[in-house]
Amino acid sequence: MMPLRERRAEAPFRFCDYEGLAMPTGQRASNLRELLEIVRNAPLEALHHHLYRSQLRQRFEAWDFPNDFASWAAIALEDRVLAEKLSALDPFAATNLEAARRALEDVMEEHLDGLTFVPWGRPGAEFHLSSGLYFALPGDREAWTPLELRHHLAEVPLNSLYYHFHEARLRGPGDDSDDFSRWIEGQFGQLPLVDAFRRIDFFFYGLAELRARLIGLLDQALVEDDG
Amino acid sequence: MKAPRLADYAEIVGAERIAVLHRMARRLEGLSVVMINSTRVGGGVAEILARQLPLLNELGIRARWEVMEGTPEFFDVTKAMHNALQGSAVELTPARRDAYIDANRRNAGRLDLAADVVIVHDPQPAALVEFARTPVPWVWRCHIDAARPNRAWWSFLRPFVALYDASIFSMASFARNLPHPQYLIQPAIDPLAPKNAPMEPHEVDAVLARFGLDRSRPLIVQVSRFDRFKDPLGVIDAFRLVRRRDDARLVLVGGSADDDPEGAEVLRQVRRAAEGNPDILVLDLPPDSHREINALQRAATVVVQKSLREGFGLTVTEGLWKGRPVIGGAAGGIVVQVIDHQTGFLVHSVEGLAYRLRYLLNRPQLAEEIGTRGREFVRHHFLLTRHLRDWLTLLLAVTRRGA
Repeated sequence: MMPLRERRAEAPFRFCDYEGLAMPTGQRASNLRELLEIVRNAPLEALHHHLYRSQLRQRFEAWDFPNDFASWAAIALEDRVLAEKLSALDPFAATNLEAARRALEDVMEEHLDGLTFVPWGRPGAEFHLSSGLYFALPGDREAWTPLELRHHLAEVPLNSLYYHFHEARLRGPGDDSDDFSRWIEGQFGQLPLVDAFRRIDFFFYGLAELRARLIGLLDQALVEDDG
Repeated sequence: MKAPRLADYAEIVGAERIAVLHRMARRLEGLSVVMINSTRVGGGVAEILARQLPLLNELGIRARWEVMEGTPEFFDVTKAMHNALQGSAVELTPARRDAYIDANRRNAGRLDLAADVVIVHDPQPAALVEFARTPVPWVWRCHIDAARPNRAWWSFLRPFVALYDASIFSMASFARNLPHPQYLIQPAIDPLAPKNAPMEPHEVDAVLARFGLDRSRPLIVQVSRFDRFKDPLGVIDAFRLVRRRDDARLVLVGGSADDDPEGAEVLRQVRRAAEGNPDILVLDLPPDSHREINALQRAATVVVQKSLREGFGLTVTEGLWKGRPVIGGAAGGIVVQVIDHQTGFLVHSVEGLAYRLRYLLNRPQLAEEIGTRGREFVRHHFLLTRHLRDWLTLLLAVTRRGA
């Protein structure tokens, strides 16, 4: 069979730009019980914003808390136990946003049940509920080969990577995979690379780290294929 | 100096980020936008507008800037309003209401507000929407820390704000209960503006010499309007605590904006507090002293911004961009820029500032590392190119051209 390096797809991978703004709602929680109420009633778009898009926001190097609820528990409530439990929630494992909401509620309720007081944040450290408005706009980059995919991956904005790797899982029911591996599988068949992409425990990767990991896997596949 | 073009920013943020701006702007080609604020010079808002508008035009958006006019009485009222919205107990008298509404009504007849999108900055011109409403999206951009506004003033202003189609705040905590979509846009600095552009060491030294300074002793610098929310007196108190053990000089650099009549009184208080202390230099500079401020920030051992309330704190961004560690008051947007042990330190008191100043003065290597990280942090999050991208997103949203 022709080496992967030389194979050309029938349809290209088209990168999208993914840009948006947070939309604060003006709703705030000062303590854990108020946060629980907010989570119970929040629009799904707001849960999406705080559970998933926390990946997109400014973060300093390594990060301890993968969603906004866990960060707030750690920093504002200074409740490390709750922060650990909320960090362990994997929203990408939830079947839908309502299921993610129920999982959040369960953790908070159970934690409150075990306390004789309600944890409060200091004034000024409230949780501010936000939603978000994001656009996926067609970009200019197209990849026809795995090598081109590798080159574009090295250069696209991290937001675009998030859109194709993280948001991709939320688009279609029952397909917990990213756009890149779907394209590779669709165009070149069930290569080991497809599985390698899907096995990445991306929950613990920042976006820059994820970029490096994807490029590394592609490089490895292209070299092994040559040999 | 030739005005920078978008391509000039590619060297700083990478060509891809500039390409994204062009792609987004294609959908907004030919859109006309008018921005309205209350001063052409002085203060962060005027600075951002001056740098941003030419670049929006380069992207194909026909952006204009209108400035409202007012009497000294009007600006007294709007300064009071500014303070009240940041939480001060300021009385809202019938005379003040009348002066505010009269000025807005008069400006509504005078300003050219014909555009596809109207953006009104800050409270001073907020009531224009009542008198000059056109059938296009009107957006209110609030730059101040309105997290805990004085109730009477907010009740007065809110009905005007509610008439807008959307509002923009700098922090989620500033958002209010309003009947329209609210967006978050954090301000940014222009790395090519005279205040931030690279300077040769000899240029920096020349500026220092003009002010009787040199680099033989550590310099602590706070740059901001003479405004009590910036707490210059607290900085002086902290500096006195530092000087008991450590050698350093303090430079408080400020100026006044056209719409800030209170500044002169605060400056008098600061001069009085610094009197007789040869290690404290108070500089009241004209609003175009960008190179001087650039040099002082670059020469600083530590940059301080001990605000008690803060809309965002662009002087913090400026200090970080120059690779300086920053100690900031835990207020407004400072908390998203200053990350403890990473880009500087957040403090909550005079004692806290003194402690962290001594901490950094005694760890020059660590101060250097923190400064380097701060510069990279700003490169990714707080430069004008990111701000432009946010504005394009906002325009896509309010004109429904993003779908």
